[in-house]
This record gives sequence, C-alpha cells and structure tokens, in this order.
Amino acid sequence: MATQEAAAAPQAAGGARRLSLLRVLGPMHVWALGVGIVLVGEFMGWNFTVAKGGVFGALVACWFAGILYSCVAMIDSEVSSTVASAGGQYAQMKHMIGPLAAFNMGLFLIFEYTMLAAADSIVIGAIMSSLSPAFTPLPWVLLTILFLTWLNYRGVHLSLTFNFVITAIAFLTIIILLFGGEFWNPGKIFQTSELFAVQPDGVDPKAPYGWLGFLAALQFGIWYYLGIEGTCQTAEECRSVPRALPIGTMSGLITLLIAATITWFVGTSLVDWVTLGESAFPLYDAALNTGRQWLVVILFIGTFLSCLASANGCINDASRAWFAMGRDQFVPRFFGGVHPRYRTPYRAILFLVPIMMGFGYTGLLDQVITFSIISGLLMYAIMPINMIRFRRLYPMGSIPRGYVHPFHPAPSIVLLLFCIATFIAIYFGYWKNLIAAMAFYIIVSLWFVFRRYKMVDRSRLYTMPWPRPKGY
Amino acid sequence: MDTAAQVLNWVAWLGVAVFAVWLIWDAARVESTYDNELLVSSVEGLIEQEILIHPDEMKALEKEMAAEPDSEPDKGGD
Repeated sequence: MATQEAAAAPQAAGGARRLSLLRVLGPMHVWALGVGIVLVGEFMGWNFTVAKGGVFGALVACWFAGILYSCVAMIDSEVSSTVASAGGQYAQMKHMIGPLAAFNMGLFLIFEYTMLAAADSIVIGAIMSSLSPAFTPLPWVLLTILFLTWLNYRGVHLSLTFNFVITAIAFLTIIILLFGGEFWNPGKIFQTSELFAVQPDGVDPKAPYGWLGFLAALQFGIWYYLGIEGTCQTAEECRSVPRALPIGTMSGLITLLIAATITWFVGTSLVDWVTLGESAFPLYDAALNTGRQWLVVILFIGTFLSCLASANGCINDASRAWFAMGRDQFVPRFFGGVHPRYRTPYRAILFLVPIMMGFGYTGLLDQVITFSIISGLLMYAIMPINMIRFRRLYPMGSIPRGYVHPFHPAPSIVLLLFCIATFIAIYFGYWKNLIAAMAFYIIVSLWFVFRRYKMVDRSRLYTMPWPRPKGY
Repeated sequence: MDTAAQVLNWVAWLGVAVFAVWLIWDAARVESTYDNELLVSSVEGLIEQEILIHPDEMKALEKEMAAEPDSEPDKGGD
C-alpha cells in the first residue's frame, strides 16, 4: 500500500511530485454526474406542478424550467471551462465578484447537495418500507449514505462510472414505460383525451386554477432539472475540461429535456390529475395503472436507482465545494486534504457524512427538500451577475475560453427574470422557509465578514494565470 | 416475508458497521502516516512535495544507504 500511495503522486513538469485531484473524467462521467443528480426529479417531485397548475400548468413549468436550466448550462459551460477549478460556481464567484459572494455560493452548493443527498436516502428508506412494513427505514437510509460515501472516498472514476451505469438504467426505464404503454395506440393504455377532458363537476384538469396556477407550478418545475449545474464541480478532475464539461453538461441537459417531456406525457396520460398531484412516486403509480406487472417492477428499479444516483452525485459535488472552500481557508484549511492513494478530498467527504445522516435521521423530507431548492435558486440568481461581470472583466479574446455561449447577455437576463418569477412562486407557498433560509445566509455572511475572512490568506486566493482584468 | 425483512434489516446494519469501520480505519491510517501539510492541497489544487514518500519507504531507503560500505578514500591515481 505504501508503494501504491507513493506512486500515486504523478510526476509534474518540473520533476517534482504533486498531490492533486485525479484528472480522469471524460464527457461520459460529466453526463452521469449531471443527469444522475437530476433524474430522481422525474420519478418524484415534478408531479406537484400538476396539483398547482393542472396538466398544462405542469407542461408550462416543465418547459419554463427547461429554458431556465438551458441558460444555467450555457453560462456554466463557458465559465467553468475557463475557471477549471474544483468548487465550480464557488471558484467562479471568487474570481469574478469577490470573497463574500464566493463564500455564500459555496454554502449554497453545500446545502443544496447535502440536503438533496439526505432527501434521496430518506426516499430509499421509504421505498424499502413500501415493500414491507417490516423493513425499518433507518438502516437503509444510513447504508445508502455510507455505501456512497465509501464509493466516493475510493475514487472519482469509480463513483462516476457507477453513476453512469445506474443513471443510464434509470433513464431507460422511463423510455420503457413510454413504449410499454404503447403510446402509438392512444386509448388502449394511455388515456390522454379522457384524463384531459373537463370533468362532470366543471373542473378543467388542463388549467384548474388558471394563470395563477401556472405561476404557482413554477416552484416545482425546477424538480425536472435541479442539480444539472453540479457538473461544474468536476472541472478540476476532467482530462480535458474544454471538451468534457460543455459536451457532458449540454448532452445531459438534452437528455433531461427529453426525459422531462416524456415523464409529463406518461404521468398525465396514465394517472388522473388529482391523484398525480399528491403521489409520492408518480411514475411508479403510472406503471401500476398500465396493469402490466413487468412495468411495475421495472419502474420500481428505476425509482430506486435514480435515488441512488442522485445521492451519489450530491456527495461528490458537496464534498468538492467544501474541499475548495477549505483550500482557500474559507473554512478550516484541514478540509483541503487529498487522499494520497485515491486522490479524493477524503476529509471533506467524511465531514459531510454526519450532516447528511442528521438530516436523513429527521425524516423531514419536505423541509429538507425546500431548503435544498431555495439554496439552488439563490445560486441561480447570482449566476447571471457573475456571467455579465465575467464578459466585462475579460472580454472575448482577452483569455482563452473552453466554450463560448451564444446570444450573450440574453441567457443571463432570461435566467435572472425566471429566477425572480420562481422566487415569487416559492414565496406564495413557502414564505417561512424562504425567510428562514435568507436569515441563515445573512447570519453566516456576517460571521464570514467579521471573523473568518481575517484568517484567509488573500494573496493566495486568485490563482488563474490571467492578465489584469479590464478597468483594473 | 416479515422474517426475511428483519434479517435484511440486520444485514443493512452490518453493512453500515462495515463501511463505517473501513472509512474510519483508512482515514485514521492516512492521518497517522502523513503530515497534514503534505496532504492539504495548495491553492492551485496541487502540492509540490517531492517528499511525499511513505515513511516506511523512507526508512527502508535510509537503511539501504546506511548499509552501503563507505567508499575508499581517494588516494590519487597513477
């Protein structure tokens, strides 16, 4: 083992041995990370859009969120393929806006992913309990967290290759449900016309609450894609960042747009809107309504694997963000440690385990998820400012870019407007959670400004070999 | 079914214990073997540490060097 660890340190250009995260990932792994985190949203969560806005409200929310995330993916692909550093959006903020924005961005990332991982493990416990009441959820919640922690600890290539396999299987189960329901034969299994028709009591399932319902549906529309921005966290571990990151992120987004649209069609064509709007496992319920047992088994597997893939990707992303913050001393430098053999941020990975377990132990799925979504949305709200500033400080041609997104600044403006609309929607449904989250981030920001930032070695914060920014 | 589920619950607890012990053991091994400054990545994501050699390997090297006979003093050539 000693020899393996010593040999693990590669030879640097100058002949010195260097310890860093391993550069072993390709577009396939980036795709697996992005889609893996998100795909669970097609198996559960998206259907609350139906309860708020009816079946058309759900479709509007699906495509509205799709535009929002297309902007996120374009912005992230450009900035991350240029600022190729672990921490993704955190590192971007550090270079473009400043330390306080970076600190907050790091926390948004950590809470978004840690809480999502906890929520995924809670759902796995619930899935086991649904098989038989004799299954106790707690050991399965803890086993999920510890198994995936072990996988991430052992190496990024191993964990993301595993994610690729289980994500691909989970995605295929959605396609199988579409074909298993014989979509080319409407009326046989899919009951689209019947389920979309105005009911005897006068309620129209297409838009029961009108335009206000469409707006309310937006807060759950982001379930279809929440987490795709996590691909940026791999920036320091890609073999070729300018190739792997844009290809992996964009292909991931295309996969999710397809999956989301199929999910909406399958869900709304197999389950009535009232039942669908309250379902814990909408695609599984859709499979039950086909009356085909083999589809039920396949969707059960798909639901389980999607949760596992999501939790796995979340552990990967949260640990990279914590690691990057540790490296810059925004949190104790201790967390910037790299394992000498597996070359993973092992201290950051282990540190997050008790936090995930704590949230997993509470079993408060809705609260955990809401905090995760709010953290994610706060991050999206800052990204347009980051992008506009990036182009202003470093105009085209001033530094080499791995990818250049088209139509700037349109994606940034669209993203900002869509974020504001989604915040309004969240305020209607979860104003207490929103205010509590904002208060939390303000308090920790004060702690950072008045205490932690004094410990940061500012001369070591800015590491990109770039020319002086325009105007400085 | 109930008995099988209860057995599987215990298997899950066993898995929890195995993974927890492995992670703690390996982390403790690394922490006790290497100095903190060698493990913490620098701001560039890299550490230039030529001395990232396992202590056991270092001891073996020292031993090897000590075992080598002293070279004869140069008495000048003819």
